[in-house]
Amino acid sequence: MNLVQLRRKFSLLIIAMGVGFFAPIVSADDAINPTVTVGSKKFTESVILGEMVSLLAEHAGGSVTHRRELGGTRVLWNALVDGSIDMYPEYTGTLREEIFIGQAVGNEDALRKLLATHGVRMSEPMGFNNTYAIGMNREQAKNLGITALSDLRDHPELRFGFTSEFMDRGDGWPSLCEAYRLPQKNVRGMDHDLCYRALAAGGIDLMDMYATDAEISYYNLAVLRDDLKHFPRYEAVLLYRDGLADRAAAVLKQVLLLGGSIDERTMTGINARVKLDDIPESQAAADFLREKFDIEVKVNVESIGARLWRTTCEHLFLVLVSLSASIFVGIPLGVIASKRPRLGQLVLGVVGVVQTIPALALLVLLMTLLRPLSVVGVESIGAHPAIAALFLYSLLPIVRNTYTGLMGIPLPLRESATALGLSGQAQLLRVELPLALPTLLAGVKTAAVLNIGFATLGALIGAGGYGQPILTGIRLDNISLILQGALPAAGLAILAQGMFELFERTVVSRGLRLRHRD
Amino acid sequence: MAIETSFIFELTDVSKRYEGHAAIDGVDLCIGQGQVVVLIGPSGCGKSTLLRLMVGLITPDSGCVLFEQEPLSLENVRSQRHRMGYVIQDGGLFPHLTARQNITLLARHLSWDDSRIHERIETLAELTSFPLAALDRYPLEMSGGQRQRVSLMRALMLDPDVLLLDEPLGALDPMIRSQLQDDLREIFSRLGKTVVLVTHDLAEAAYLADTIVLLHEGRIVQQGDLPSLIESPANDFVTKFINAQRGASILQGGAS
Ligand SMILES: Nc1ncnc2c1ncn2[C@@H]1O[C@H](COP(=O)(O)OP(=O)(O)O)[C@@H](O)[C@H]1O
Ligand SMILES: [Mg+2]
Repeated sequence: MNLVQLRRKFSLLIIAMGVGFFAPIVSADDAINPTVTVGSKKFTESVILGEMVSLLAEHAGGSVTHRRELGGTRVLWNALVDGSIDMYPEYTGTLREEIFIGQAVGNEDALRKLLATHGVRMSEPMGFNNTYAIGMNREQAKNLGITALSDLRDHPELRFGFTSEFMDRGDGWPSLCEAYRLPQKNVRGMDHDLCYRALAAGGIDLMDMYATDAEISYYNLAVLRDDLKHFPRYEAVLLYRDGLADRAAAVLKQVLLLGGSIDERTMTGINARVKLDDIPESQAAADFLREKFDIEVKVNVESIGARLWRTTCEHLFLVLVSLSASIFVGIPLGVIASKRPRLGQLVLGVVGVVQTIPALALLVLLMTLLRPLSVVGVESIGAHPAIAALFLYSLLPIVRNTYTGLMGIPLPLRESATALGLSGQAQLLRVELPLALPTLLAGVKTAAVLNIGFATLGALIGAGGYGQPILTGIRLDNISLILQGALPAAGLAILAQGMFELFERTVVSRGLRLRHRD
Repeated sequence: MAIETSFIFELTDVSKRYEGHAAIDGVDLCIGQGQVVVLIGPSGCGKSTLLRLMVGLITPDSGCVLFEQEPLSLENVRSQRHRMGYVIQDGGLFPHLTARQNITLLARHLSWDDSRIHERIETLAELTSFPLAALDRYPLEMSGGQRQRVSLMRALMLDPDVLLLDEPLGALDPMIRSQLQDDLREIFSRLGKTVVLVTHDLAEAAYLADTIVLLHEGRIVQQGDLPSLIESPANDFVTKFINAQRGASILQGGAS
């Protein structure tokens, strides 16, 4: 009885010590410099709003990370709900039509209540309605006499180019087509920025756009009137996590200043500065804060060199961690596959199937799969899911080449090793793996090159790397930015290839290279 | 009399089937200490299979194989193999290792010290007349004859009780072949080891063997020295085999 009591006391003591040890650090740090992670979507306006939020939060003493240009509403919403980010700019229309699709959400209060059930709060609307609009070349519209969406009914030959989001969403093309009884059949999905270029080049006639898009004036486009009032309102708001009010009250108060402070003209103007005048988002955001609130914030605009260095570090991190993991897992899997034919077929089958999953789908799938692991510090956006995806993608060439390398060893050689009386382990390490090494290394080399290319997609989920300037470059139609990502990525792939060939020369026995020569 | 039998190998009613076809079919064979036994027979008669059964690369479907009075078993087969030197048909040298590395692979695995390894290699190179300078060549940098000598050295490295050689001279051209036959005979007599050697060449068998074992379709047809095979053949096959192998004139000379 004494012993039990003692034990209970002891464990309580341990817990108390643990809490006492961690609690002050966490709370003290958080109270002075609360960490705030801001997210933004991969279009300019969202990035600008994300920058405004970040600068304000920093101004109020927050220690801020801005996960820029994340790929898609779901990615951000999930990240917000599971706590990977604390806040991000969103549109009420998107919430209704995409997140809560199928649940008839009434007025703004109803929307707030629904958000609260997910632990999410919504700011006051910022003051502009960035609704969907359909636009076309102004000249062509005038020639055809088109001013409103209903007019399109008389021109079935016109070609549409839509973002894939618009093709699928509740208020998008399917319902637009039904509401206006549109006859057009030539409809294709493409990236928003590519749509503008296709429209300018005459590849398509009509496209979806946002009411505050900077390109509307740049490309001299006409926005068709929504005469049947089909599109819902897309009020810009900030979504943030419940806990933020307690954890970072001062920061939140500062950020919520944005409520009611940006109208459509202002937003379009800032968008145009960034997209057309090449002003960095952070600069444009800072200028707005100074004019509107008289708040001076420091902006660090990254130099090309600094960005190259940062993206290189990020990219190398993604590649090295994931590739090492695939090597450490892939080679043993390949060995096992070669020793147990049944299991081997299964292993090769599974890693083969993983390879066929489209890259983006795999990323999103992994973000979902990693969500339960958030309790052990695994993040569901950023480097963690990207590394997991890269790991899986690199596995196939390594496993398969280890397997084929080992299976390709002539039976007499394997039997000679056995007949010598070497242990199984010594046969593997001293005979089989060295003989399979050229094939095995070729597999690792292939994996490395694939991995380096594929890692550029990590930027879509906030993992950074060379994909980031590529994404931004596509968004801003800035070739130089695209090249700042694409060239180093290609260079890294070539470098990796060269290094592997050098490495091969040092580790593969000359006796084997003789055979390769003749 | 039973006590005197110190057989190295004792095979009793051993059979091995592949896809319903008997590669070895009820073989009884005893191989005594210090004997040079040559297995001979037409291609596909089961010579290699018999050798592989002896070294434990395959296990018999029925019957038993005793090596130094003990059956080959999973637990002791590795240490038993250290007392056998086996050379497969084309030498089986590892292409990624030099001659020296091939020869010393097992000794290094067993953590022999360097001086012991070095001493042993010198002895073996002298025995097989292999030039020391060529020890650091890779198999693909050596002639066929040199490769066979290296294979032999690798098999002899641990000073095994028995040598098992599967057509060691099969792929060599006639000049080198006859040179190596002389060398092998010399080596066998110097070492005094038990040797089981496979060949399909009767002259080679007669030159090297104490006992010739003639196989046909997985069975032993007859064993003995060449004169006994010629003078008292067990059946027609023996005569036919000898006939086909030797020039007609030699056969006539022997018969008259
Ligand atoms: N691993 C195997 N699988 C199937 N058949 C085999 C195998 N090994 C040997 N055989 C068959 O067994 C018979 C004897 O082969 P082998 O011992 O290699 O003959 P040889 O006397 O020419 O050395 C041949 O018919 C051969 O096809
Ligand atoms: Mg054979």
